[in-house]
Amino acid sequence: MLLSLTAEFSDGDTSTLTDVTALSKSVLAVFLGGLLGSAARIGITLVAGRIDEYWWPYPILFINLFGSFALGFLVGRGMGKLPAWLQLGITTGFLGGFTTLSAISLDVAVPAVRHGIGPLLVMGSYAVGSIVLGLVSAILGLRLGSRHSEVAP
Amino acid sequence: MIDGWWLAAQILAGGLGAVARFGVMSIVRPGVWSWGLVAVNAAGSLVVGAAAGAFTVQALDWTIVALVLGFAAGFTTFSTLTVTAAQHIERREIRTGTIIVTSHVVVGIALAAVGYISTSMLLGA
Repeated sequence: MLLSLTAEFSDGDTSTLTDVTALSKSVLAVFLGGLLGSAARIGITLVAGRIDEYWWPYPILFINLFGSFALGFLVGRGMGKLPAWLQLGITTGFLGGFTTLSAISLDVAVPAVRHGIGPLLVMGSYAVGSIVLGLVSAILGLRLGSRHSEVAP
Repeated sequence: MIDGWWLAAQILAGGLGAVARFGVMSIVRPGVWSWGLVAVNAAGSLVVGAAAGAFTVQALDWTIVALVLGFAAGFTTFSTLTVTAAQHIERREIRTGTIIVTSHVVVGIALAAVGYISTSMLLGA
């Protein structure tokens, strides 16, 4: 929807201008949200300190579970009262940048490639744990959020 | 190793990663299966694996690797994945929801391994 403006970019009518403004506001909000989310994620991993290489990296697990719960809550509750750019900044920007999949991929793949089946089983259990607990967190968030829904049930 | 500039650069890379994800997901329209999100998580996992592999054979400087990891961490996402899957599960589509999350994680791990093996073999001595 937002990117459809490229096709009508040369029209020069006011609706295109509004679209451009809306797009730049959204991009800026996603960028700032992503900065804050990254800062929060990096901050938590630094405070948590060094993690044993072949055990569950619990700071990332905590980050992903909290992020799943928070996004579930916001989606369940609805954010219709907030402007679109702020919704994007919070969800796509902050929570999207805060949570991560690449860290899970790397933390499981590298020990497995380097040291074989033992670390693969341990880190595999971390991957399974992330999936199961992540789903539970998101479902809890959705349910709790819809209980506080801004739209009357 | 952890100095202010390095941290700021890594955080900035994460912000750019979020914008790149927003771009990819706006271009690739979501259908039943969110291919934009698949592309983002798959590409991010492949890239971190490749960077880590290049680092182990000393083909890449740690500062560059840190920036790649920072970008990929902001680029890839977990919360959108779990919430999308949770919405399926709440609609009693338990199998679809479980398959969505599991496939992202399994593909991500496999691609990180492929990236790691590729660069460490190709760039190593």
